[in-house]
Amino acid sequence: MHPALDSVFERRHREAVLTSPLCAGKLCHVGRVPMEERVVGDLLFLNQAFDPTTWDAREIRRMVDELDRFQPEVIEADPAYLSILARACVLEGLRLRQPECIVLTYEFPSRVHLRQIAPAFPGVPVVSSYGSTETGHVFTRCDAGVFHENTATCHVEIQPLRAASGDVRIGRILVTTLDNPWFTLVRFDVGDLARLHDGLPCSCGRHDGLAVAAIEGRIRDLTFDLEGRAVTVRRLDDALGAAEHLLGYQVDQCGAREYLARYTAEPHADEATGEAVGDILRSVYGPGARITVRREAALSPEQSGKFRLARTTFDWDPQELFS
Amino acid sequence: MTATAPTRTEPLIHTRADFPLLGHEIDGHPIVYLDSASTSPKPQCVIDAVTRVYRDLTANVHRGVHALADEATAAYESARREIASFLNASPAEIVFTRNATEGINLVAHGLGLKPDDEIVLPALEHHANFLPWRIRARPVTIGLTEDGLPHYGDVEAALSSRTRLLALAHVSNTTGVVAPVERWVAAARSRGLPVLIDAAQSSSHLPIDVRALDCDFLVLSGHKMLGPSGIGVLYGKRERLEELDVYQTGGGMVRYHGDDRFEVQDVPLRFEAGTPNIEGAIGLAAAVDYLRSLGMEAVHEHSQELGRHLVEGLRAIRGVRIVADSAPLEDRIGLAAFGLEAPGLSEESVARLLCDRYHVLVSGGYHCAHILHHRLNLQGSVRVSTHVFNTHEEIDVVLSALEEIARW
Repeated sequence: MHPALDSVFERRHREAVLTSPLCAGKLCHVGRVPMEERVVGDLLFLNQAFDPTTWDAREIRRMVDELDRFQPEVIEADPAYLSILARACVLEGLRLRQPECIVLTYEFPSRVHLRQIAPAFPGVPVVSSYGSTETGHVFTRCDAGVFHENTATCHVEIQPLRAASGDVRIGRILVTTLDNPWFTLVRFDVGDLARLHDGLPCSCGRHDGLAVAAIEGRIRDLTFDLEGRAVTVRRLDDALGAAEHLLGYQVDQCGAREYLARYTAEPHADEATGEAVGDILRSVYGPGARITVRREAALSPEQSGKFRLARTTFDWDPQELFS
Repeated sequence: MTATAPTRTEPLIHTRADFPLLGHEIDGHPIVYLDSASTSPKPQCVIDAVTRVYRDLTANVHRGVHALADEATAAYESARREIASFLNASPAEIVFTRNATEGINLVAHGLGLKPDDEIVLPALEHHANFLPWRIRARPVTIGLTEDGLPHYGDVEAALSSRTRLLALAHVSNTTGVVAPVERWVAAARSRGLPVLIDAAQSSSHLPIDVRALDCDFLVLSGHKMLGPSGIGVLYGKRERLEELDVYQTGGGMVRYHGDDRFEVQDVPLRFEAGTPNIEGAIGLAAAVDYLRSLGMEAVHEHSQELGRHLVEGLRAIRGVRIVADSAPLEDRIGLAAFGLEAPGLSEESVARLLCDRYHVLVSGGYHCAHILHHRLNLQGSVRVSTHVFNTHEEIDVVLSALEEIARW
């Protein structure tokens, strides 16, 4: 595992969880409850709202206070949720409890999220962990930024995209579990894409197991360029994450050539931000792409509690994409 | 005198093909629909969106655990996002209601008004923005000019220590005049009071940005803005919505209900008790998308031009008395109400005659603004109201017909 995680996970420690109450599971049916009722063992479930854009100053202050009281060694968070909390605290001058490490999970960590998280947690290692409810912990990112297969608990294969569908170094993650004799999954399709790491051994010293350079996002969050080739969330985010003043975005592909980008930005951002978003998307999807860009007051999560960064509004068959 | 000026263009004429209703005939003649302030025809995309819900997406929202329920919920919440985006609001600030009337009633109920509380509003307001205040508190009305234009500038003088809220129509459903809502918001801000804007008539005629307006509440009705009936929107600043008492109770608006207590959902869901109008919300989002595809600036310009043409034409007809005629033409949308001196014909009769003889559909009566008509000593008025699909040629048709009736 990651050194920052190793030092914490080898001993008993407290974790604060910040994600949708739906993801956290234990909260959605009991309403707003005192902190004591949201502590389960060594876990504190921080969030009580389905939409974190509804957090007001009182709610932000509550979470800051609860982190101070609980003193977690780890904050495990949905990056979108943590970015909202972090930015609010920076703007209000509130100091957040500094954990030993932050684990980002639940959904794809955008560069715009990371940019907002960093100032609130200076020097705190931010680790992307990858797993799923069904498979457990699959990959851990090392200091060199490479995701290593957790060979003790699973076996991972990558089924590549067809050459006509996209970059063949990218494929879907198939997991065979090794640590649950009662419920073994064989080549379980997690629904995510990964990009293979080009060379082993990794500079971190690991030489066994599969290594991937990046988690590329959900298969169902793929969009397609004008040639019909898959654009992963990672590729989109690498491009859009460079746009200045951007706080969040959601890209909908509405047709073969039509795209709608919604974004939020710093208050002082002007029309140039929207123009930059349009230019970036044309560079990703093709110069002939018909792109509508809208600045929004807020972007809300979907019913699942996740902020999807990209999606198509039409159906397509994922099976046709893979070799 | 009603000849179309040579410079008039019809930039939105292509939209006519989108409205199946415009192909309707009366006695073998195509209709001229000039009654959108009452309710608007629906473009095919709205009809398709509603039909799709019944055909492919029938499932309850926020309750089901099956895939179709997920899909329906996603579509319903996507509609909320679309409408929030249209108003430059956050989705959490958008409450789906039955219509603008219910939105106003929700706020009036939620404020916990007492009989001595005062609500400041123009005297010409629609019953929907008058009676909900009147039955709970004391309305303090802003006076009118002789032709029915409110003295909007008197707002500061109307405020008192008992004022709880300011309420006004963004565009009056009777005058078609855009109110100086910014001035009212500024007056309210100086006293820390909330403002409610009734945008039922403005929401599909001019761009609305609730953040720029800085209003506390804003309501609209779907059916007046090319969307389905039975769906409306209440926008509220989050902190204002959270201050309101719950309007209705029932399923969907609670997150916990036990023997000891119940706890309501966050806004906006706490105000959406019971199964909502799912198809209405999705249809309204389609209408909003349609309007945005035309461009709200273009829609506004078209509405202004038709309004200007209409009022200038009405002024030239003998015996016509236009409500709020003194308002600048640039402050109007494509809507005007007027009295007509036609012996033996009431305003309602004129409206009926326009339909039966000329196949022109307009409104006739009090337009839910009795106080305005009483103060102007009018026994009702004829109202002509346009939308994106209307043309200058159609304005000429109604002007010619009125000129003919006036000569009887």
